[in-house]
Amino acid sequence: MSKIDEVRDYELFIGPNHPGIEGNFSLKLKLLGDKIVGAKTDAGYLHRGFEKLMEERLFIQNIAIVCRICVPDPDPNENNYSRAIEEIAGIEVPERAKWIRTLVLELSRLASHLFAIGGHAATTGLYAFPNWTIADRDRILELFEELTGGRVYHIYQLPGGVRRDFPDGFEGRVLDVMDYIESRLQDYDDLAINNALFIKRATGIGVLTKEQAVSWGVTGPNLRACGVAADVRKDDPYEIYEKLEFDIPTMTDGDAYARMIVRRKEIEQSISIVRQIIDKIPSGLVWNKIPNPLKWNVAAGDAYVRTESSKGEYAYYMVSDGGRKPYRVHVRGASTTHAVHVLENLLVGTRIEDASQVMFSLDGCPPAVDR
Amino acid sequence: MNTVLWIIFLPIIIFIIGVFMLGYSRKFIARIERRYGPPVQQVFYDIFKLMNKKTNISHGWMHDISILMLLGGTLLTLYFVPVPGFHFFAQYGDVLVIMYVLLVPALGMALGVGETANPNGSIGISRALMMLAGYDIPFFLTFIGMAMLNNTTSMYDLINIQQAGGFLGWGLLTNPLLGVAALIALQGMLGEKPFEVMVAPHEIATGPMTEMGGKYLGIMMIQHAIAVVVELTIYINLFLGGALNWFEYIIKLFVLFTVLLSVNAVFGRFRTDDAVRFMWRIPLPMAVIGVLFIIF
Repeated sequence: MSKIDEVRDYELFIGPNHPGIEGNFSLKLKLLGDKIVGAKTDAGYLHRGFEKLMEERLFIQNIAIVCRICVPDPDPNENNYSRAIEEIAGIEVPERAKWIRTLVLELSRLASHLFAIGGHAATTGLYAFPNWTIADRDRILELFEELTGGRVYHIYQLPGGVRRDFPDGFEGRVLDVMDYIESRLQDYDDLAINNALFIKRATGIGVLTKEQAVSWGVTGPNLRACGVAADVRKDDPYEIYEKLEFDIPTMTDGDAYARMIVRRKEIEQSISIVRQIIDKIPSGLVWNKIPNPLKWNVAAGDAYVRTESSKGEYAYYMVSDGGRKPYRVHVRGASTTHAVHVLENLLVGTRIEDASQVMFSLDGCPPAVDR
Repeated sequence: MNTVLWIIFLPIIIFIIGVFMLGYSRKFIARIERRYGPPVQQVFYDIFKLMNKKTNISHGWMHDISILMLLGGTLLTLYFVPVPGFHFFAQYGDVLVIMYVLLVPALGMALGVGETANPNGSIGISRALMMLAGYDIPFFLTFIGMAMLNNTTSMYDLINIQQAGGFLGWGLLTNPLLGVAALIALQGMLGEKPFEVMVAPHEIATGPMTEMGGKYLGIMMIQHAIAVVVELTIYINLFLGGALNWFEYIIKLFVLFTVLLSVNAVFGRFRTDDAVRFMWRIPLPMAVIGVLFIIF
């Protein structure tokens, strides 16, 4: 290192209190002028010990914990947790409940993607876009509030089905919201996706090659932006995904812009899935009764289940020793890979202007890292 | 006596106009972003609150003086820029003097923020000085061009010449290349997007303002409110025919500001080097061609 480089070499903290950080998280950057030469993530600001906590609580009590593992997209956690118990205990889920669960998962994906693409554009200074997408996301939260009573955390999917059926006229209101969001997509494209300045800022930034993505364990939209059409909904279908028609959008560039485009296209696919569900949903029970949850000894055994969340692949490994509490629940979230390991690698070589953008384009979820 | 009253009250009047323009900008941007936005007088509340805060931390006398230099430089510029009814100092300082004193606030901020030793602030200042190199050259050339076109370097005379020509005598219409080049440079001078590289919240946590609080931040906000009006006034005087009365002046201020805000609302920000490159690739050649057009 030359003398001049020694002077230009410094450390910069982005977070935990910084407009450019994603949630309760921090980045410690080592810079040479404007160029990032070293990056270390600093997680743990939201650590509540969920995995250990679950071992101390009844199976049913943990439903209220798991959703908190990923704030913007909580429902895959509820789904995984419930399916793991169902698999161990051999519980059947009514057909209608499976359709409702799928609907909830897709609405959650939509809400999360709207949050993510808005946040990504904001890192380049395009603040009108997140205001639009978050206002539109609010319509989905209103649907959740009507269906589950909660806007962000739903605590809705239980072993055996879901807590309650649709309220009167709910299907129509879901379709209205889908029509509305679809009508907004052109505005999104005009403001952000096709905005020349945004394209200039996002193209070629945080490039992840196909080989890197596969070997580093990248999943979800981040993997599909590298040209790999992998999706748990197609590869290992759960709930009623095999009965639905949808595409897996992919891009090949692997940069921040490609990740944005994949999420934008997935919004269209989710709208299509929601419409199919509303069109075809069968009638019937929404919950098969389970034993008294306060005295329920779940059979000994283990289960590994996974879902495709908006962040990537979410997997739960659950072990029951035949007691009333889980012996062990391990959560394999997508965010530890994306927001820690991949981010630290991608940041090196980029410039300080793009640090926040690379992070938001990977769409990590700090509470999932801290679980 | 009249001049003394103007000297005393002009900064106050311009400050009040500036505060409401900033309030208007927050409301205007909020509506584009589909938000309700704060009341237009919110900036005044913010400044009042900040100026009433007790200052417990000092970054040294250089920091304190520099913040005053920031405000003082802006006020000095204000006195040299003719406004309706007051052009006393315009006879002592022409456009070249205005160009010179316009640099004082930027240097004051650089000195003050440098004293805080906050890396975000230092990066912000280095970006501000880089942007200065980007927009100042085309803006300076448009000054020169207008002076050559009208055979005077006095801003007051430039206004009179434009007024004599009526609407078609406006600088923007007599030399559109210079007018548009100066408009783009003005966007950079005001730090509006896509040239908002100095503040860039997602990148450097608001840059120079990161370490500022209380009265220091209050003075920066006062300076910003006055600077916005001063910089828009310079453009109005050079290219939009100045103003005969305060009604016309305020209308022109708000219309011009709305044009700049509209661009600000629908674009992100350039990277720093791209912002400077853009300034040198678009407005600078436009200004050069505009000047050559006048020479030949």
